[in-house]
Amino acid sequence: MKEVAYNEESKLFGVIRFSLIAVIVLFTMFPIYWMVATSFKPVQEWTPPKPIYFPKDPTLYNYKTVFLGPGRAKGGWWGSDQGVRDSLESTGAKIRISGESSFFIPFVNSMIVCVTSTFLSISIGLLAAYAISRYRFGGNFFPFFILSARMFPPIAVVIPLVVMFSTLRLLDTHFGLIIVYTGFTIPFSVWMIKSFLDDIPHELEEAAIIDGMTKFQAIIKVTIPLAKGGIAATSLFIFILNWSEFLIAFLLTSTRVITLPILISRYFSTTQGHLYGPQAALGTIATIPVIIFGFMIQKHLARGLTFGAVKK
Amino acid sequence: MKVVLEQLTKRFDELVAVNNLNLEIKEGEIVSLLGPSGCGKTTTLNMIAGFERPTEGAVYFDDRNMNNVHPKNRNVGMVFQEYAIFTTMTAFENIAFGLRVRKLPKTEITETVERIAESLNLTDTLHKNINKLNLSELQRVAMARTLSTQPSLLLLDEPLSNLDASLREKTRVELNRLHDRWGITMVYVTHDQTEAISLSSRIAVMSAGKLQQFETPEIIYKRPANLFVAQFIGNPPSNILEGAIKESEGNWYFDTYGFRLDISNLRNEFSKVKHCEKAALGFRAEDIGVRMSRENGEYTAGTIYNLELLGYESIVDIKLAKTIIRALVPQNFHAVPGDTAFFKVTAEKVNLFDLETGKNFLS
Amino acid sequence: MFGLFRKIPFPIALIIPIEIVMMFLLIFPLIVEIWVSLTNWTPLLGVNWWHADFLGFENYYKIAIKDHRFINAVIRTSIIATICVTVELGLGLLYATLLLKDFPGKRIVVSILLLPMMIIPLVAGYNFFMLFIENGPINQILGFILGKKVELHWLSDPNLGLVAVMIADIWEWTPLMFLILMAGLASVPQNQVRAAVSLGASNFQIFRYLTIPLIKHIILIAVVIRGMELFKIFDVVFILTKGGPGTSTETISFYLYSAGFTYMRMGYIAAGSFIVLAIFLTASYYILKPVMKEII
Repeated sequence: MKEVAYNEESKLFGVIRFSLIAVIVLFTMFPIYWMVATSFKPVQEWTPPKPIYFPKDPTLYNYKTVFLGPGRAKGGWWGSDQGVRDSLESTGAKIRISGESSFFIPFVNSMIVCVTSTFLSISIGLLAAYAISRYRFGGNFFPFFILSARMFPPIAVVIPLVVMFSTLRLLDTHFGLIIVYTGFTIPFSVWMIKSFLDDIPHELEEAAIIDGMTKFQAIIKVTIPLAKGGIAATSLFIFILNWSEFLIAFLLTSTRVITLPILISRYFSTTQGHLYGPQAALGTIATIPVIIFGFMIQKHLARGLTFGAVKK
Repeated sequence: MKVVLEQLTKRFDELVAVNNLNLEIKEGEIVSLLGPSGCGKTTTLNMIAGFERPTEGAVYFDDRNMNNVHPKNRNVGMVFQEYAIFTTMTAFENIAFGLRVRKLPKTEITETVERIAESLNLTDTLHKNINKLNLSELQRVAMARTLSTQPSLLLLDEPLSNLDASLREKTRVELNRLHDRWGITMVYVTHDQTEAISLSSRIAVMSAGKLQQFETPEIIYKRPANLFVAQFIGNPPSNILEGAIKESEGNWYFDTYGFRLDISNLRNEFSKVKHCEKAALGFRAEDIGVRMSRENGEYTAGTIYNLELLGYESIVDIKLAKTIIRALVPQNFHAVPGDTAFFKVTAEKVNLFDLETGKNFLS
Repeated sequence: MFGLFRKIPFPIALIIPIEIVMMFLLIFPLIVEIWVSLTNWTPLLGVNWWHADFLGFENYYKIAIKDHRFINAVIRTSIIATICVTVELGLGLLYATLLLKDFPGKRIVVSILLLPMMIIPLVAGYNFFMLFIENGPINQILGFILGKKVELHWLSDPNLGLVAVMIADIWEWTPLMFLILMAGLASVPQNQVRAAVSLGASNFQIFRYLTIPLIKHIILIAVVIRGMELFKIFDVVFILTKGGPGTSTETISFYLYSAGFTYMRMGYIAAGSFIVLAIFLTASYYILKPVMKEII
C-alpha cells in the first residue's frame, strides 16, 4: 500500500471520515427534520402506530393555528377528533384569558426583550471587559466573581427578585425582564469580549493616541473594529441564551408580557392529548430568527467561543 | 548520508515554488539554500523533510527514493526558526521526546539525555520549566532534542534569524563545532549570506524556485554564475556597469559611457567572451583603487557621492554618469561629496555578463 | 457636573455600569436570599420577608440532611452533569478531529453541526418528546437495528427517563464543545507538531503528549461552563418527564421549583440553592486552579 505523505490521508481514512461525518450530520439533523416535518403533518399523522417520516398529506393548518391562535382555528379541517378539538379549545381558552391568541405578540415580546437585553449586555459587558483586559481590574477575583453569578440556580435568584420587582412594580413588564436578562448574560459577555480584547495589542491604541486621538476615540475607532468578530460571536451567543430562556420569564411574568418560550410551554400543557402539529410549527417559527441572526453575522464569526482560553 | 534532489518540482496550483531543482549533497557536507524570500528554499527543505510531497521529481537519501516515506520515518533532525520547543514540557522532556516515542527503556533515555545535555552545557537547566530558560538555553535545548535520535541528516530553517549579532556569532561557532564532532550532513536554509558563507562547504543560491548556482562560497563570490548571484552575494553587492564588449585592433574592451576597461587578458583566458552589445561588467568594491588625483591613463574620473565610515575601512560612492559605484577605501581616505575622484578597476577580478541571459561569460 | 465626571479615573468609569447591574441584580438579591434562607418565610404567611421568624441554620440542616428528595436530586444532577459533560466533551473532540482538515462543503457541515445550539431548549425537549414516545421513531429505528420489536417506555420509566433527558442535552450542547475544541485544536502551533513528527511521533503520540497538554486549559473551561449550566438543568426535564415518574428524574432546579410551588417555603429553597452554589463553587475552583494563570 502506498504510504501517505504528511498532510494527505489515505483513501480508506477518507472514506471512514466521510461516513462518520455523514452519520453525525444525520444524528444532528434528525430531530430538527422531525420537527419541521411534523409541522406540516395533519392530525392523523401525528402519532400513528408506525411513525411517518415524510408527511403524506402535508398541510399548512398547523401554521394557521399558530398564526391565528388555537382558539380561532378550531373546527374546520380537524375532522371529527373531539379530543383534539377539546385540546385546542382548552389551549385557546387559556391563551384567550391572557389576551393573546396567536403567536405574534409573544414573538414580538421576545424580540423586544431579547434584542434590547442583548444590546445592553454587550454594551455594559464591553466596558467591563475593557477594564479587565487593559487594566487588569480586580485581579483574579473580579472576573471569577462575575462568572460565579451564573452558578446559582435561577429558581433561587428569582425569589428575591419577585419580591423586589413587585415592590418596584416591575413584575410582568418588559423593562423588568430586560433588566434580568441583561444581568444574567453579562458574565458571558464580559468573559468572551475580554478574551477577544486580550488579543488586540495595546500598541495599536497607543499609536492612535500619538496620532492625536483621545483615548475614547482610539478605542472606538481602532480597538472595537478589530474586535468586531468577537463581539459578533458574543452577541449571537447571548441572543440565543436570551431567546431560549424560559424559567425566569415564567416566574416573573403572568399575563401581560408573554415571551415565546412561555407560549410554547402553554401549547404543551393542554388537558387532552398533545398538539404535536402546531407545537412543531411554533418550534420551527421560533428557530428562524436565531438562524437569520446567525447567518447575518457568520462573516464576523472569525473565532470560536473559547471563553478566553485560546491565546495566540 | 548523501542527499540527492532529482528534478525536484513543487507546484501549488498556479505557483511553481520549486522548479526542476537538481542537487547532490555529499555525506557530511554543510549545504546552504540561500536566497531571498519566496525563492523556494523552505519548500525544498520541507520536501526533504517529507512535509511536502514533490509534484515532480524525487528526493533520495543514499540512493533510496524517499517520496513515499512519511516524515516520521525519515530520521531527519529539524531545527525551526523559533525552535518550536514543546512548551508544556521541561527541558529534559523535550530532549527525551524523540527517544520516548520510540519506546526506549527509561534508563537508556535518562542516560542519553544527560549525555547530550552535558555536551551542550545544559545539565543545570534540564529540569526547569521551558518558560524560565533564556534564548541561548532554548536554542541548545532545540539542538539537543534534534540530536537525541542521532539523525543522519540535519535540516535547519533559518535558526539564527531571531538572534542578535553576538548570539548569532556564538551559535555559528557552536554549529560548526557540532558538525565537526558529529559529522552529520546538514542542509541549512537562510536568506543571510554571511551565515551561508561562513558555515557552508557549498551554497545553493536560489531565486524564484530555480537553482542559480551551486558551488563553494569562494567560487560563488569570485565567479557568480549570473547577474542575480553577483548582485545578491557580497556586502556591498557587486557593482554592475552596463555597456558593450568590443574588439578593436586585437584588443578587447568593455565600453561604457565615461569608462573603458581593457579585458584582453581575460579574453585570452576565457574564450567564451564574445562581442556583445548588451553586456554588463561586475566588479567588487574591494577590487577598486581610488585616488584623488589622476595618476595615469588607467584611472577614470567620477564624482564623490557619499562616504560611509565602517570602522577600519570606508565605503565611498562614486557617481559615474548615471551609475553609482561603491568602492572600499582605507580608513584615512578623506573626501567630501562633490569632489572629483579617480578610480581604477582590477581587470583580473571582474566578471562579464550577457545582459540578455544574465549569464556570466567567465563561468 | 461634567467636571465631576472628568475626575473619575477611566477604568473606574468603565466599571460603574456593570457594578450597578450586579449590585441590583446579584448582590442585593443575594443578601436578601441569605437572609431568607435563615428564616421560615413563605408568601403564604402574608407578611413581608423582613418580618419572618429567624431560624438560624435550621433550613440548611433540614434540607441537606433530612430531605431525601433533595439529596437524591443533588446526586442525580451530579450524575447527569458528569455523564453529559464527558460525552459532550468526547463527541465534541471527535467532531473537531474529524473536521480538522478542509474539504469541499466544510462550512456548510459546520453550520449544520451548530444548529442544535440554536434551538430553544424547550423546543428541543418537545422534539425529543415526540421522538421518544412509545410508537415514535426512536423505538422504531432501534427495533430496525436490533431486528426485533422495541417498545421502550422512555418517558415513563425512571431509568430510561434519565437517559432520555441526557440524550436530549447531549444532542443540544455537543456543538458548543465542538466549537470550543475546534478553536482549541486550531491554536496548536504547527511547528511544534512538525517538530514532533520529525522526531518520529505517531498521530496518537502527538495527540497525547502535545495536543492535549496544550489545550488542557480550554478543555477545563469548557467543562466548568457546561457543568455549570448542567447543574441547573430544567427546561428539558420540565418537558420530557416533569421529574417523573414520581420524582425519579428530578433535578435540583426541578425539585426547587416544584417544592417552591407546592410548599412555598422560600427560606428552605434558598438554603438548598446556597448549598448547591457552594458545591459548585468548590468543585470549579479545584478544577480550574491548575490552569488559572492561563485564563486570566
